[in-house]
Amino acid sequence: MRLTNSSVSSLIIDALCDNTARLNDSRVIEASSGDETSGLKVGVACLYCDYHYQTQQVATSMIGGLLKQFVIALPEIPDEIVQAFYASKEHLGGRGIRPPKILELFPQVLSRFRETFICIDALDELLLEQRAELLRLLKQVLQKSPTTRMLLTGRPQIYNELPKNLTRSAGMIVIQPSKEDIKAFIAAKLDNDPDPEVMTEQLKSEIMAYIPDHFSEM
Amino acid sequence: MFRAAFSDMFNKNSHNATNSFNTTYNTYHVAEAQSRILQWLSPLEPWDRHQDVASTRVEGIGAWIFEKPEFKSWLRRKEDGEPVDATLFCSGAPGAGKTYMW
Repeated sequence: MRLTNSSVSSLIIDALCDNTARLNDSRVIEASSGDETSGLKVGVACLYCDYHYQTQQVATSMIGGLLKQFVIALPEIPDEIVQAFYASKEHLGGRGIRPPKILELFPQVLSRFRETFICIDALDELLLEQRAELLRLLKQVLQKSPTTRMLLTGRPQIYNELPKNLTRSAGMIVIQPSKEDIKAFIAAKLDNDPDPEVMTEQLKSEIMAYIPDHFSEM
Repeated sequence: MFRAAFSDMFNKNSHNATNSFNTTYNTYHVAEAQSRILQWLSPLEPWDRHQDVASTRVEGIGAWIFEKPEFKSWLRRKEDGEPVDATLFCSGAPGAGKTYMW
């Protein structure tokens, strides 16, 4: 599933969109591959929390933003969405969709995919009350959509909030750059040096030798 | 399906609808209606942010995550035959590169 024809490079989202083809693990590929004739086998939606936009990034707009991405990925907007939209225009004077309706429609939309992934970055950048509300809404979505998985990122303390609002048994991976990651990053930066005149091959070599060893696994 | 549902709703809700609407179907109105419905779902455009992030990431960085047992278990929803939670949390200090894992 792609929402746009993107030429940019993603890691996890590309892998999920490509039906895990990049994961190089036959067991994983087998578990995640679907009917090749179906264009809707995998759906991926993402959110990036940003403290600059805390006034716009409230729980309702966030979960609505996820639903919107899955709707866009469908060949056409489902009838139940259209009907709910016009019903809201009649009864609520054009207000945005409310959480109860989102929770009613979300599982119906997700059921059109073989499996779906929800990815949310930087949960710590949401206001506390909005984060709690978003997680509670997502909990209800997951309960009604057994083929949906969710990938979250955030600062370590956020993990402690999950049992209260989402789940007691979420898995966890600690993200820290490997030495190879740092080497690749520095090499890319040096290749795109805006002032290459002042860079010598010796200085490049010294940078590549020193920084990865001293800053990996901080 | 959408066109039929939209047509029904449009005729029902628009003061400008005419009896000939179905025969003079206007794709502009469909696109406009779709846009309004999507805006109603949420004013946010998260995929734009994804484009920004993805355009600045360095190819290959973070690929180690695919080898993590926790990631494989989450993707399979199973570990040693037992069900695994649907949620996986990637924890990291500020600047660790969490965003660029996407």
